[in-house]
Amino acid sequence: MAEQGLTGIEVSAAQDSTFGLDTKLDQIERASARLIPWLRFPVDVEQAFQASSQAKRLRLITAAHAIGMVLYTGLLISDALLTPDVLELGLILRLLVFPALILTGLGLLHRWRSPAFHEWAVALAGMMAMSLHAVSLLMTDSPLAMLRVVETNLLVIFTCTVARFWPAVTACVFAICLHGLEMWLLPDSSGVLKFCLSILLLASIVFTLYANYRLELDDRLAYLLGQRENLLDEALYIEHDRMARLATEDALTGVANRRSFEQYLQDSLMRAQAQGLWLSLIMVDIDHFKRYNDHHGHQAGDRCLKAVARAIAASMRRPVDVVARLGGEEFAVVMPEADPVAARAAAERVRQAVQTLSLSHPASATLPVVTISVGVASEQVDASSDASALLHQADEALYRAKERGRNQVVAATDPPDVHTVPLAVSH
Amino acid sequence: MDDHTALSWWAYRSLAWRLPRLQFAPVLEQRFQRSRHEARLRHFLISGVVALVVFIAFLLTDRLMVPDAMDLALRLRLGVFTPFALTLLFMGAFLRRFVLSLSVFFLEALVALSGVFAAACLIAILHGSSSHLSLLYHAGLMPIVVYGNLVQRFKFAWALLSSGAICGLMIISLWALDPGRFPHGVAIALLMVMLVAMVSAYTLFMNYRLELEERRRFLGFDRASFLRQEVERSRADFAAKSRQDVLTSLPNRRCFDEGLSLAWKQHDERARTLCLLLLDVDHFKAFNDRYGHPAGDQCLKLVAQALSECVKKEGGTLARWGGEEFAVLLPGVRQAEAERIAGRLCQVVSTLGLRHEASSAAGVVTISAGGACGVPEVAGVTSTDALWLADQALYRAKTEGRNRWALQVWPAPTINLSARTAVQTPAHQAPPSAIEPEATCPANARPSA
Repeated sequence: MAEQGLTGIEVSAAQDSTFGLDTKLDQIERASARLIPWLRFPVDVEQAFQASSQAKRLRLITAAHAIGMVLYTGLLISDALLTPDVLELGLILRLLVFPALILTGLGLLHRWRSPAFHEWAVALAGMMAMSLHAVSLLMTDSPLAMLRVVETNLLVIFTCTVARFWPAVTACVFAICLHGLEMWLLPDSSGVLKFCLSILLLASIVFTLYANYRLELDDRLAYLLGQRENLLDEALYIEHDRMARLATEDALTGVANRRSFEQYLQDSLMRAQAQGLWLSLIMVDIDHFKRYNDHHGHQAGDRCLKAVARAIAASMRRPVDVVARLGGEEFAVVMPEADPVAARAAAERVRQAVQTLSLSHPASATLPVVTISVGVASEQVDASSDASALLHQADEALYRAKERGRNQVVAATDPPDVHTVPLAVSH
Repeated sequence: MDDHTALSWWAYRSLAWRLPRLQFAPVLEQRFQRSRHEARLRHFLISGVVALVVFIAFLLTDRLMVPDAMDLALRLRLGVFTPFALTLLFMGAFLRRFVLSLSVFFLEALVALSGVFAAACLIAILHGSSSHLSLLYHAGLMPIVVYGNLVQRFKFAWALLSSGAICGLMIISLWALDPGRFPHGVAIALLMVMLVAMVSAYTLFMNYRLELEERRRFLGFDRASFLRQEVERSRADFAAKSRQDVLTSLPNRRCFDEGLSLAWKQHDERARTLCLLLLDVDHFKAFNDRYGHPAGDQCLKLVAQALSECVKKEGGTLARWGGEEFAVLLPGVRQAEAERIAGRLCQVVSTLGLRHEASSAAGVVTISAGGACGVPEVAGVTSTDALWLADQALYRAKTEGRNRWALQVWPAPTINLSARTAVQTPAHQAPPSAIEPEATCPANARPSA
């Protein structure tokens, strides 16, 4: 079957734009399956997750550090009551050193926006607080120092409520080491506190880490579900869009269908009526299309229609000009605010564009390539204007273009033909 | 998912959160609680067993910290709390259905109360001792608070209540112990208050976030499954609609093409005959010009309806081929039957009696039909060739005066498809390109308009 001159203009079938959806959903499914036990995503997902939660985390971390500073200062009470000999050191550590470190850290956090740094900074702050606390306990001569080891629980729990899981684990390990050091160095007058305090710390660590793990797991799963929701939202939007286009587009060529053409013509007329603007209508008919179909076959005919539709659409320079397929081999263009000169120029562009496509058409009586006849009607719209009258004028002009020998543009306002012998217009 | 249909999507979305109360809109809240009810019970059972074991293990610290109250500790931990906890655990494990039928509120309250009860037991043990360490041992309330708020994850409101109750009990207990009689007693008591209160505050904060995240996750899951369904439905809808003609609701050309190539493949295997008809409404352009496009659409709908009924009876498929053209696929139909059906279709449309004054064929709307009949792939006839043959036959029916049909049969030994010359009649068959009078739609079948 002859299909010359048609390569490269094939319009690909409506792409299934939601095709990638299932793959992406699978990726998410896999990411959530791999979350347990290490709480880790694949690298790219991890980055996206960190980036998306960064702002929220930074707010939380900043608030937590501020509160932590206040609470840490609050421990001065127990400095004063239980270990008054190191109160001075406590004042320096709690009012100067720790706030200075935390404020510097917060400044860095807000400047250096790396999610990993943010998460580890929380653990670091916790470990710093524990270290400073240990320093004042180890410096005191008070026999009650051992009692104060119980305060480590507070620092551990606080760190674990804010930090992410792995930094929290690190902080807990650090706390256990410090605790061991304190147990080794501090005197235990009662002889039972070492064991009991250790058990207590261990319980606190296990319970809070469990909750911390749980919290991060839920946070990560919620993130994945959010991603899933976004994907599905997008897919649904595409589906609705496709559905909407189905009702307004011509299935073959992708230009507007007759239904939406009529709607648009009516709308344009109404708008023009309000301000007395010009409205132009171009009618296009492919010359000897029946013969083209017979010669090349239906499929080639379809491809020809697509190519012509594209050529017409490409010749239009304004987005308000709407191209439509009225059925068969007939097309139309609604041109709001276009006067007769502009409309005629556009029509001529369209005619030339189609001829330049050079689609071989040996069966045509006009030229050996596919050509079109074009009718143009323009009107300065007033209250009495009516869409069907404009359509009729354009149709008449198209008929005259056919009569005059096709492959030409005729405007409704053109003077009538000199010789009016009707040519036999075989369909 | 009927709840979803009741609530429109956007309403559903905006109603979902009522921060910071940790509560969904009623419908959603109910579903949330229902969805986690069983998991919640399981979690309470497991964490309850662990809690009981840990609570008993603390006998070890009792022995070290308050050795003089060991008797009381054994009685309270093993004799009072253990049976109480075991009763609850057994009920949860063996009367599952009964427990699940109880309200969520009741279940949560019971678990939170058991936490307070454990704290009360510990405080009672401390009061049975005269050890100076009994003040410090109030730190033992800390793991109870942490466990309840973080591991058992009481509902936030209950966590708040139970933590408050435990702090209150502790303050009363410290007061009652008169810390002034111990060295540094007041300082230690203050430290204890600070410790337990702060731990309560931190863990409540975390408890809140835990419930928030759990709800966020539920909502995400819920929405995603809703959206997933919507997408599936929308896809199916699109698949159906994209194969349907908007005006007549008949299958469209794309659908017909698929059906045709499928039929070709299947017939290929079974080597059965098949008939293809192309139908065209006579002088439809004139009809449109005279009566207007809306009337034209109406006409096409009525014609489609009439044809559809008839084709269905014959076990064929009718599609809108485009414009005023229809196509019919009749699997397993031989020539004689095809002729009868073609005639019937022409007759059905003319009997509709739709006025058409601009028609030269009759005063009413009529159709012309062109058919092609044969066994697929015999003589190398493809579906495209068959369509072409049918189109040729239609052309003949048109030139012969419309409101009639013509049929073309293959194989014809002299068919020269590539040259697209006129098809000749095979001698051994009835006149195929039946332009003879008996092969056209009889004029007397047409009612006078």
